Amino acid sequence: MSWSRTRHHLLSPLGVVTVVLLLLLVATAVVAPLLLGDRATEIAGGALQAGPSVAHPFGTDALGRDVLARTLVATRLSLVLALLVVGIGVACGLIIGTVPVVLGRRAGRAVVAGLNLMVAFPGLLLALFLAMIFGVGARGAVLSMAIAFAPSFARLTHTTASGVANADYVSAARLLRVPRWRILTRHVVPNISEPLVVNATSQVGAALLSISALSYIGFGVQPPQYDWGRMLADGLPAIYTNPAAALAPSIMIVVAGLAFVLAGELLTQVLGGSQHGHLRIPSLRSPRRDPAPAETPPPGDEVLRLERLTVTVPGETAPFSPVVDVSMRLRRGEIVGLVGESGSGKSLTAMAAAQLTSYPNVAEADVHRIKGNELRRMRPRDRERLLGTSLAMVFQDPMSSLNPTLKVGRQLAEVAETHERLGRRDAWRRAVDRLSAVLITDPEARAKQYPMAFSGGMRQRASIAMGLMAQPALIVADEPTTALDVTVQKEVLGLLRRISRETGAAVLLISHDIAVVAENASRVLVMYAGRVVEELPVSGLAEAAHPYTRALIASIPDMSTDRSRPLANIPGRPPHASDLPLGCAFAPRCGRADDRCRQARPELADSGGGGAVACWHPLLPALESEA
Amino acid sequence: MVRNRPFRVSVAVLCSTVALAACSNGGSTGSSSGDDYADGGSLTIAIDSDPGALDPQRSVNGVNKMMAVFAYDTPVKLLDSGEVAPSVVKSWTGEGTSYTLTVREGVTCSDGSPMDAQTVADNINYVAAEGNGSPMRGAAVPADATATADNAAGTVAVKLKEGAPFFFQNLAELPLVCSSAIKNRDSLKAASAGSGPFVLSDVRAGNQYTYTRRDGYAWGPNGASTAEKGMPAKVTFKLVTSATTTANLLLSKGVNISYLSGADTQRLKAAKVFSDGGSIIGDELTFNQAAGLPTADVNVRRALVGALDMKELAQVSTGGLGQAANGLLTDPKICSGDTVTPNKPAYDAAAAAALLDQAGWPAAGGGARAKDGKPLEVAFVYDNEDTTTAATAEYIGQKWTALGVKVDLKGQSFNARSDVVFGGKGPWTATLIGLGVSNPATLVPFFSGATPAQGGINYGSMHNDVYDSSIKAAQAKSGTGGCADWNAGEGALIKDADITPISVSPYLYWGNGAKFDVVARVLEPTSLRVLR
Amino acid sequence: MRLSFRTRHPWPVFLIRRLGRFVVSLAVVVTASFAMVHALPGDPVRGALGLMAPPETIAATRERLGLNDPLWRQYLDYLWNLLHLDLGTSLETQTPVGEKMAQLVPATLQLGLTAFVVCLAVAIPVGLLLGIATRDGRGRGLHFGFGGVTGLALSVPDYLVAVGLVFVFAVSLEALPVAGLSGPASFVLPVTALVVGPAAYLARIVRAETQRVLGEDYIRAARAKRLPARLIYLRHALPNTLTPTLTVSGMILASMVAGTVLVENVFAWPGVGAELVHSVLAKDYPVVQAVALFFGAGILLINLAVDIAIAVIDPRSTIKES
Repeated sequence: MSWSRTRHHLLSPLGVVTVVLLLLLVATAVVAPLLLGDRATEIAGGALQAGPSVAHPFGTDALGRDVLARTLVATRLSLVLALLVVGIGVACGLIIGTVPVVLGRRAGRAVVAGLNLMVAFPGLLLALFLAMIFGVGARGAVLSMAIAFAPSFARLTHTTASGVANADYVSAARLLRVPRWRILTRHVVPNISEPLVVNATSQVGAALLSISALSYIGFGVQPPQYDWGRMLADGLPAIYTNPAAALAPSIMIVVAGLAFVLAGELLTQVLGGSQHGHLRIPSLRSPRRDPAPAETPPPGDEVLRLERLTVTVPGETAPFSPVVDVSMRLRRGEIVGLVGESGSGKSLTAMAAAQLTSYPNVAEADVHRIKGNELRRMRPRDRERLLGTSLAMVFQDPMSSLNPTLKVGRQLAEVAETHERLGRRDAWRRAVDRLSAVLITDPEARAKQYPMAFSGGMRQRASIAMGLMAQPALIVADEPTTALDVTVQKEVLGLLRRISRETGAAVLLISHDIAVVAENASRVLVMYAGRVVEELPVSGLAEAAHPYTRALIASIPDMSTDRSRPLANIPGRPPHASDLPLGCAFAPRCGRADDRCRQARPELADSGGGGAVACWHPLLPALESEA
Repeated sequence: MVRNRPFRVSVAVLCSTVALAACSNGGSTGSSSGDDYADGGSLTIAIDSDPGALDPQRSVNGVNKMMAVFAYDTPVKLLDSGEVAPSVVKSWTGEGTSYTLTVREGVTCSDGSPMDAQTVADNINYVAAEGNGSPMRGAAVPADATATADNAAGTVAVKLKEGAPFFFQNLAELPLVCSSAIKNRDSLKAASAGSGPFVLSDVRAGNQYTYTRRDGYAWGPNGASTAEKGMPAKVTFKLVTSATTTANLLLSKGVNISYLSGADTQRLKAAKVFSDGGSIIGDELTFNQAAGLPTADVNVRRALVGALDMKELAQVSTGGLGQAANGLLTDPKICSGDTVTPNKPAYDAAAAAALLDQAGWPAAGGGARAKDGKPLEVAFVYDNEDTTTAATAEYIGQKWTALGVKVDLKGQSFNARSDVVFGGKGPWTATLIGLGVSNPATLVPFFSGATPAQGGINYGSMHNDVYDSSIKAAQAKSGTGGCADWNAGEGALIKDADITPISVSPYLYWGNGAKFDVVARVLEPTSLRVLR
Repeated sequence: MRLSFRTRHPWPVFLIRRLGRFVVSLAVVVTASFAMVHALPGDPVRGALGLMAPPETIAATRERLGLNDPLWRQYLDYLWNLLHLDLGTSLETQTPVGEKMAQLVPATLQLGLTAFVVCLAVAIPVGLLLGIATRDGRGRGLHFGFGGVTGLALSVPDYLVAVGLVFVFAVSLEALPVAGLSGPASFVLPVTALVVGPAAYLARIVRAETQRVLGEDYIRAARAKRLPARLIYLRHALPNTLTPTLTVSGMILASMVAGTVLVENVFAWPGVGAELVHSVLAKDYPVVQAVALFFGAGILLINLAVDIAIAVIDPRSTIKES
């Protein structure tokens, strides 16, 4: 959580309203009893339950006391009681909720069972009982509401905590025999505090309402003390004869409740890092330096053509472009690899290529053709149809890219139903057929299963089968094997190759692993900091011109030409796209960089051998030998 | 809580235990002529709590009593004038320990059986028998009564062991059930068996109760019958707990008749809704005089009462709708007269403070009073179910605090409070109690005799010599003849601040689309008329 | 590998476990309410007999009603009667509690269930639409407005809503019945009073869930399939929001049942809720226990129904359970 982000949230409309309301409440709670305490208890004779007047803007109560003064003074007690309820409830909840995490499974199960029972007991009834047993009054109300609150809070704590407890670092701490209480204080509590703080804040509002309801029905605060609920109990019966007396505490309850609801929401945004950014993203594309490429009719075998693709995203302070001027062309049956470290913009490029850039990100390109059709000039319906039938996506995590609540067959069949207007039965038959095409055994039965019954490799094959439901000309595979076991990786990649060979589909294979690309693709595009820095045939990888490409290759042990040298690593980290250096983005990590590299950015230029490179000092074999 | 319980059990038993003297009628008298009445109509009456078991002789619940008069006649009826009027019993004689009642001929039960002398006698004997556990024993019928009937002559002879000064007045509280029901009490749970003008026809426990008009009923007050124009064919009692909701329903004619007090009556008054009734006494301030408590000292009690502005307090305790009380009895009072003004400690905060100084509770620095280092503490328990009672307690607490008393205000549910004051469950020094009664004799066990620990209900361990001697003299006399002595006793209680009545407020039934008479705080069923 | 019985028959195992838990929970509710009602201050017998009743009469009545028996004995008697569907006799009104409950329970159920259905019918579509409209941080103004409006709805106590609604629609405008259970029109105000807060809460949950689900990979996959928006939202997103929605709905229905306590009072609704506060104050054991049993069993049944519904809708949960 950075200060700039916090400030950004605090200055949003939500932030301003919340902070102002909270400050007003706190100020009233602190100041009102000091300034108005006497006025609030002063009995003005002869003016019982009087309507609004200049002296008493909200009238007087049953004893002739000023309702406005009492309402303001009651702020302190009302807030204190609500905070106490949440405080005690949270403390109990934390103890009940976290202890099972460290006490082990059996104790945990017992506590959870107990919690489930407690949550089932009607809260209001519990509060009524306890309030009577503790003795009606502020103390009884706080204790009873806190006890009524604790179980639900404990359950939340437990759910959150058990997620953390299964995390690797807690397991590691356990293995290292770190004492349990220390695991709790060091590892569990700090990691669950954010959601709990958010929840506790919004609970203050709920507690406020509950305590006032308790006071309203006579089980809460008793005279001579008074909170808003108590005032409502006195004022509401006379609502038709003296509405002002009920109005004042009503307004305060609602305002205070609202303040805490909003505060919870604000905290969620500040702590949870919700989506934020600038509403409108201006085009950040660099002005065109070359004349527009001639509108030549595309070659017949062109499947994808992207020219000067730029993707812009909203930043914390200003928008920036993690993908700049990326161009590529894929032909029928060709497998092209797109490699780069994480954050290099390759996934954004892939999504943009598939026209899946999602709000608030913006993708712009001079040319974006699929099977020779310029997407930007198509009617939306035709475009969707074209993309739906000729483009298939394979995502990184097969565990999450299949819908868990739909049968696998259904998820396949709907493609044909939507784009080819196939009947349910025909679509299903095709789905089964495609599942068998990706070598899923017993496809009839498998189609009727939910994704959870599939292994990771099977799911990824099912996603590929989903892409095969139509006749895809292009498959965009975004890290299709990263989440899979090594043996399964081979299977899936083999499948992609086979499909490409048999159907002639082009594959854009995105991976951070240059080895994967080298084994499967025919051409490679290397991305760094949002730009393509080198493009070359796989056969030329060993003689790559860009130092970065070389470094990538060197990091793979089995691809290295010289195994006697130590495993090469690229020092440093890639720069953040919002904070790019002036010159070559790779310069800070490059051994060959000089002032020129740091001053000016090299453009992509022909490197000979069917490749292109963006480097001032390319490692061209010829030049190398010259040097 | 928005709750309005005029019929609270404790009060209801007592306050309707009857009267001779004048009863003020706060309502307007009906000026409508027969032309305005609708025939065969129906009326809805709101009740604020569930009547519970409907056997009229086994319940002292106020709502139950209000409903019982629709289906059950009483031997005699009370009038606003305080006189006893004939009903099932057409004439009566006797005093002291021997009485004779003559039963009207031709009175029939809803099941067709006659309501004869034998049935009346059976009713009296049933209630008087200890084993039957009727809560009316000792109230409507003296506990030692035995009745013998002479069916041929139509007379019932009642013999007592001890004299009962208000025998006939109390009989007006006895609902007479049919002979079949005396044998089979369970039949009264979901149906009625009486000689009254209506018959209970539908029971929805906890929700509503419907009565249907009986044809051929002609023995109401002054010969009132159910054949009158405008008599409702059906009367439904509907449970509405919130007073505000009751007022809303009255104004929208969702309910035609209801008892209502408090702030909402101002709306009804403004809308010119018809009303009839009288007034009722509110809370009374009383002290625990058990040994060791500061309030055992009469000077402390008088000081505490003297610190209160009764005029203002009466406003607080009635929501500005009533006035200061002038006695312990409520309308219709058996013995009238002002017992408060000559006896109550005058309102004078300075004098009250001086009196406390004199009693040995001087004010130390900061104004707190103490004796031998022990602060002057008052545990003030009150029933917090009623908002005006709570306001009254708060007002008193504030005044006493200003006097230097350490006041511990303790609001409790009616039951919990009763258990503290009458059951010895917890300490208390002062409380607000509602003993609104019409009959001074009923008050006796509260202010003399055995304490709860000794098996009595002298909750405050009170002992007032003047009171004791006055009531002894009064009990020897019959009827209103003892009023001077009763009043002297009452004055003694107020003088010693054993109990201090605070206020009286209007007791009104309100009607929209209906006319009726409230006679001696009873909604008279034969007086109901449905307006067009 | 031999599959265990659990894996082969997830449903029977799930149902048996779940029903077992239901029975145990119900036993706990019954026991806890019995224990707590006896810890309440006050003497119901004195309350029923009035202040004039002499101590010996009170003692005799307590003896007759078995209130002087040891607590374990009273508890066993209570359980025994409960097993015979006998809820006892009210100490305050001397009427059988069963008869009264038979009168009141249907009214409360009608009110509560109507409110629940309305709540779902309002909150789910609104939450879904708002979730769609504010996905990926779109429609920030709309999001803020929605947060404000629902936050406000959450902050108004239901009894205030009830009183306010009566004030405006029944008394001032005379458009709807003031109180009572009379016909469809009489449901409008009490149902609205009960629904406002819970519906706002549920709509917030549904919106947040929709937003979360719309960020999931399978939604991106569905978009990659170029499915029409209708299918993406209704077929792919909605079912995935239902599990948390149903869980929250269960809690909401439980809280609505509690809301009836105050709302029934304002609307003179002939239901159980209005009885609760009064019977606790009067310490009327049999009534309090019956009401506690009704609410407790109601909440447990709701939870049971929710769990079963989730198991039906979300294929993952039965396995998780076993």
